[in-house]
Amino acid sequence: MYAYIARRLITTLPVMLLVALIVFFMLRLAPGDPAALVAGDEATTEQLELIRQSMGLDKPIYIQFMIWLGNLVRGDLGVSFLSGTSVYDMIKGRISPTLIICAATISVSILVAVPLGIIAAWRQGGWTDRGVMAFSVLGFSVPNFIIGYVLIYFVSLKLGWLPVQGYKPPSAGLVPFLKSITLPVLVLSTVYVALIARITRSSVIEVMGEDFIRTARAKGLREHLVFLRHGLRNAAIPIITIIGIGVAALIGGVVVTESVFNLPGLGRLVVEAVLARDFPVVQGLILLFSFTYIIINLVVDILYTVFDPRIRY
Amino acid sequence: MTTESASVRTQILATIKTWPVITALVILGVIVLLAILAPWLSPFDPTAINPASRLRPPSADHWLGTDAMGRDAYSRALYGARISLVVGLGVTICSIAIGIFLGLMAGFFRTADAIIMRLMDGLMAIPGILLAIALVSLIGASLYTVLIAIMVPEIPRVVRLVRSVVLKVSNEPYIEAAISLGTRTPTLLWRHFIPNTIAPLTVQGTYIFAAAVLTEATLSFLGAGLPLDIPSWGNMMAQGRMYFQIKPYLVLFPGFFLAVTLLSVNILGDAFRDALDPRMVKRG
Amino acid sequence: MKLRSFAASKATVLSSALVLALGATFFTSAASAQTVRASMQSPLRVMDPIVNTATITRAHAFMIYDTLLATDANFEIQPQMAEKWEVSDDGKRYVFTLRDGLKWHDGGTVTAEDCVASFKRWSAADATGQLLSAMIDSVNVVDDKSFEVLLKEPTTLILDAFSSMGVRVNFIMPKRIAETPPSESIKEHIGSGPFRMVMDEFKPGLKAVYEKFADYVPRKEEPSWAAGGKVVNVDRVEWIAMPDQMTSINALLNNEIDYVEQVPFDLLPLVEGNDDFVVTALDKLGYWTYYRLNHLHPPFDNKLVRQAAMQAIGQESVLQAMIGDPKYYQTCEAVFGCGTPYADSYGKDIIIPANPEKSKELLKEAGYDGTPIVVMHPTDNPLAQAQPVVISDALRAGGFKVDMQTMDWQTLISRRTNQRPPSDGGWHVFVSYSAVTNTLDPLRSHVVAADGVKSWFGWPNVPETGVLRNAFARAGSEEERKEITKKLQKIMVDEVIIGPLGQYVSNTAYSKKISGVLEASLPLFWNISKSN
Repeated sequence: MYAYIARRLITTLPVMLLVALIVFFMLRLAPGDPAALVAGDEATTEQLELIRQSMGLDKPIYIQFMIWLGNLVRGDLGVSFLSGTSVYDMIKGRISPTLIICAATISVSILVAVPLGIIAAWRQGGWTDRGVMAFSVLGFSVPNFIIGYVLIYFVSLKLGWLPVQGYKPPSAGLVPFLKSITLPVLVLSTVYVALIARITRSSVIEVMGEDFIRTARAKGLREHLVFLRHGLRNAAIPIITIIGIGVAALIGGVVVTESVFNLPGLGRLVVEAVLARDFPVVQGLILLFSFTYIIINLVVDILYTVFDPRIRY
Repeated sequence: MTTESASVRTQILATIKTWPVITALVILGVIVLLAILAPWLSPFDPTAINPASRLRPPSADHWLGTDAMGRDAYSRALYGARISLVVGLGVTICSIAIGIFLGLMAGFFRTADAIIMRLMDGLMAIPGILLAIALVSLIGASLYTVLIAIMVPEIPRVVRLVRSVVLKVSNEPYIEAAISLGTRTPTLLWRHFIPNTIAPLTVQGTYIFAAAVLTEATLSFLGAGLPLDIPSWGNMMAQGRMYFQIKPYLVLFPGFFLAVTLLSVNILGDAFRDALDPRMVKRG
Repeated sequence: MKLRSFAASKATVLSSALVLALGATFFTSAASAQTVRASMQSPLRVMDPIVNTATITRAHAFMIYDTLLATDANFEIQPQMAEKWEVSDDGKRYVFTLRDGLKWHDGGTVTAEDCVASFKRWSAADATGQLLSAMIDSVNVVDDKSFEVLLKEPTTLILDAFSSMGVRVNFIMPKRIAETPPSESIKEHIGSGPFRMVMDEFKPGLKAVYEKFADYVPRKEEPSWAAGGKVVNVDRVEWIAMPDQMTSINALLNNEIDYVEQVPFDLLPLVEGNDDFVVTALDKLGYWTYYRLNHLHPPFDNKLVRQAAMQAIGQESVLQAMIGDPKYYQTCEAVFGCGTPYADSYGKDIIIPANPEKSKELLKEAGYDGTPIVVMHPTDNPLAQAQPVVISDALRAGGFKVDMQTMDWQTLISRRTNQRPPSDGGWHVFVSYSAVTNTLDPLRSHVVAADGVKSWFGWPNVPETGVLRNAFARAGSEEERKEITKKLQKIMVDEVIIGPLGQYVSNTAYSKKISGVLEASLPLFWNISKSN
């Protein structure tokens, strides 16, 4: 098992390198000139060329990659083309809102969705089942920015309960912090809840139809124990898979939520940096994302073994 | 054999004859019909601009009002049905097809597993949005670019799901039995593995359909979606969002169609899954 | 017994703590800094106003830097950092003397050396500056507080150089910073202006924070545009960049911010009727939008085809689609802007209305072969995304074949540098916009120069414009200048060097708690007071 983990961790590096390479080339091949954004609209062609040289963009692509890689090995992620701030500082300054909101979303979603899915499985086929499923599905029948706008309109503007935008870190006080993340978390969770509830339901239904469940019942075990002790454990695998996969889906939602609610996080940074062709920032962020996903997938794979001892690596 | 398939058929019919499913089928049928008949049903050309009559509320001339360029919202909604349905179906079918293939390979062959899963990890590490923006910049905005951009991040998820099912089923005793009986791999795949993937994949497929249509809206929100004159429900909502507090109908009408369509797809997906699962049959 | 007293004392401790806490919040809020929170039209990332010509960078520069001279609301040049200036009788020697009390944000006094270094950096990068440099013999420091400029020929351009409100303003920076080559961005941001930037709280692309510079000595006169006394009445100004336009309006309505620099036109109804907010156009001259044709490649290398395009395109539809409400826009044929000293009406009937029939005639005469016109259409720039759609429609009605290509703004600004044929990654038409103050004379305006590939994108080749620009720089009287600009208007319309699409004003909205907001072509934050 530990050998497996070690092997997985070692393969992390080549994967990240591959991802970095793909993104590096994709950025430089895509049309778009960071020098033009730095110089502004009324600059002439000569001025652009000078600025391009000072950014090192006039060198051939593979040399640029080698330079970037060399700096990386020394722990230097580079400097933003646009503002001159170090990429490390930019990421450090914006990572906590994204992390906190993602963590809150995942927690809230699991706490809400798993019970919902179980209830629906319990009353399978009836109106409760269809009702719960329709309700959770409503969450991903509407684009999340619309949900955000609707919530802002009613809850912030009309009722005045929560702020329209902005992020207050926990250091600014617990209540302002919670108020500032409530709506973003709500908006992000809608998709997640829908996803987890449905997989939970289908997975539980499947498992409860298994023979060993029938045996447990025949043995006289009470229904809720049957479920908890035998059912849930076996239903867990697809649920965990979806949770792991859903983390990847969060980034898409986070980008929109951070824009709508004006949160100073990484989702917004990655879109702005791509649209502005701020290569060093994009590359740094991609490294961070790829590392995170690989670790999460590793954790999911390990959790499989916890819930199903038959799966072994 | 015949009695088995007969009872499966009756089971499917029984599931279909429930109210929610019938409603969903009818709704989807209507929407597909509207989409197909769009050219004949639209009073205006959906791309014809008329800035002098922009942002008008619903009226006798324009049943659903006009947008910021003066285009007729009703015609755009009809044509938008086509595009949204194409996006949803296209992405779903392609990503499931590719995903099943890769997932089976990964689950079945240990050597392929390592390579495929690490590649999938890498692919998932690139946020879909980033990929979409980059693709749109490289190739230019078009329906195909958007389809590819949405499809690529969905594939790893299907692969993961199929693989997890394969791993689970591999450990079942009947598989061991089948192998010891000398059953060949293709038969194993066809008769045992694939049927077990159908249920979770149907559920996953309906999710992919919804996610694809919604992602297209998000890409339009970020400015990296379909060219703006091609209407889709997603980009109608993205374009109309700024007017939400003064002219909510620009968002509410396409939003309603979208929500109702996705709801129906999901209900059908559930019903389909219930009908096909052998264990459902027994329990019913 | 013991328990109860313990519980009672616990209650008293708790309640007194609550009272203290409440009291503390009351007192701290009363003593807390007066902050103006503003949502600006774009995020601040690049902060070098000599390298970058973006409006937000310039607005930032006006916060932390000061200028030697300044333009007031009547377009007249006033002293700012300068105490006075003297001109020799033959007009070839200028001596500028700094006033007392000018300090840098990190201590130290402003000296003439700083002014000279700043001038050198600015003139290397700016178009007017480059023209001026050709006329300068030398710039020398006279003493700590004064310096002289020796000219080869008499010109008042030197005064314009120090007071200009064009795309590059001659901000005075410390010598060590001003010695950065003009192709590199400066790394430090120290100035002598009324605000000081709080670097610890600066988050590029998100938030910029300025605090009042206590050692700033404002002039005694009333403030007027960039001239006069720059008195700061608040403690802090925060610039917050909100990526979503709807969000910034909602934040204003909900009192989470005090000031929105540019309200999207369609959202004005949300703030206008509201008594708690002031909605006004601070820059009455406003902006203009225009299209540029690519003169290098067919079919627009043919003058007749260019004129056909100009005939086909009509301003009214473009402005309706872009802005909506007619009270915020006007059609305008003047290439130097309507309501400015050099406005001229030549070409009115060609530029303003749409004449599809005339366009078809011209196309037939020119022998247009049906080459599709590549119109670039940016999706993520709200001020440039409506015009290309309407233009494409108008061109089609005028007999052109159009290929409108959608892309993001970044792709557009890099693709327009491409001089290859449109079928090979080039382009035929793009749309942009500028502040009228930045283009109101032939020297400032970046769209006038027609020196082939050395000019702004579109690369028109009409050498006469160069001759006229030089004549303008050397003109002795206002009449002479007006003669020249009249000729330029005719040339620019006949050759379709630029295609004006109309003029509009942009509205700023702020809470009634704020007062003293100055009218100017840039958002200025001195003179503003905030009531509690």
